[in-house]
Amino acid sequence: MLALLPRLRRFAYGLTGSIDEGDDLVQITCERAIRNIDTWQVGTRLDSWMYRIARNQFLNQVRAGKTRGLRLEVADIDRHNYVDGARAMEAQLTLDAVRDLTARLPEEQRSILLLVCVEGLSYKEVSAVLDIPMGTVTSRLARARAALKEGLDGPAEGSSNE
Amino acid sequence: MTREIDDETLMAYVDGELDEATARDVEAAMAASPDLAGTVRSLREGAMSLHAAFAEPMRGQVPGCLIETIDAGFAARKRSASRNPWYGRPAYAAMAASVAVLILGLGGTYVFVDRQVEQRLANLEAARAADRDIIQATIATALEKHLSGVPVAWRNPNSGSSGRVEAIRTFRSSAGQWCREYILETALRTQGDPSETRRAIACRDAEGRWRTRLVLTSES
Repeated sequence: MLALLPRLRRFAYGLTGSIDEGDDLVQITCERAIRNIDTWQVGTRLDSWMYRIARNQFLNQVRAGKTRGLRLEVADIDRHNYVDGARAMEAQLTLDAVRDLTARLPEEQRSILLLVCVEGLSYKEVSAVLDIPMGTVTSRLARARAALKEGLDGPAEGSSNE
Repeated sequence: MTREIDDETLMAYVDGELDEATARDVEAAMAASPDLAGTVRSLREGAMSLHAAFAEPMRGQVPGCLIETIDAGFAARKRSASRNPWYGRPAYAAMAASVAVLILGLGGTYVFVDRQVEQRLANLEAARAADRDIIQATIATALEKHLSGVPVAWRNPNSGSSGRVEAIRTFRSSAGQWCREYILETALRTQGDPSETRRAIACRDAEGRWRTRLVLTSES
């Protein structure tokens, strides 16, 4: 479980858009997981099971109005870590934009996008974690990606087939 | 001309979801169509920047309070387990007589598993530290001694983790330091994480040490 913490934190950060709220979410997730460890089936993936708890917990909080809404905060990144120059600056700006756009996606798309592109889960695993059919995973993922791309590049200029 | 390939198939291709035959079809179609290849590239870049966007701020240490939560949670379980072997399983108590043996077996398993977990976590920590050291040493060797395009493999026989480092580009930073872009492939058995490829930039400081300044992208 300790080994999963970095990945859970990353996922929770993506869900909540805030490092502190993400860590609170991870804390609650771990507490729940330990309390209910009996229901985890040995041999199945612990990470999928915990992503699922984290996501359900997040949905509960959203329903209960406990989260203060999405506020995106970027960690105190040591900017000196970056290579000087325009390129690094651009990379940083892109990352900021990506985080911002992801935060604006509907939760159902955001979860899938994070699980696939950041956590590296397969579509099948995502469909198990979120309890939705594979077809729904792919269509929401495609929509999320399109929204992200449009946000980064500006609206698509018609069809690209000429 | 190959048959039409829709956006969802391209996406599945980038995410590694296609079977080999279909993946080959997509590759053939990409070779024939720059448009298609461009779409795949942009999908891939999207995934990379997404990964970087959420992984980058998380690069630091995991807050101690989270680790404490887990430790305390397991410790509490262990205490109640030793005080009361029926802990947390009232339903089983109803069937007490017939399954008593089974339950005691389960209770014993938890204590056993907990103890195992502790031991394994300690081993895991040590193995991860060793992985990190080996990776750092390999990066230093690859950047200091090898031409761009020459991969240097690494392996930690104790953890089973392995990977390679390949410098791909060399340039001078605006501050005049020598910098190299490199690819780091890792399959870390110690992270429960299959494999990752990172692209990063390291610059050589005045003491001749290579310091990674920026992890540009990650692809899976």
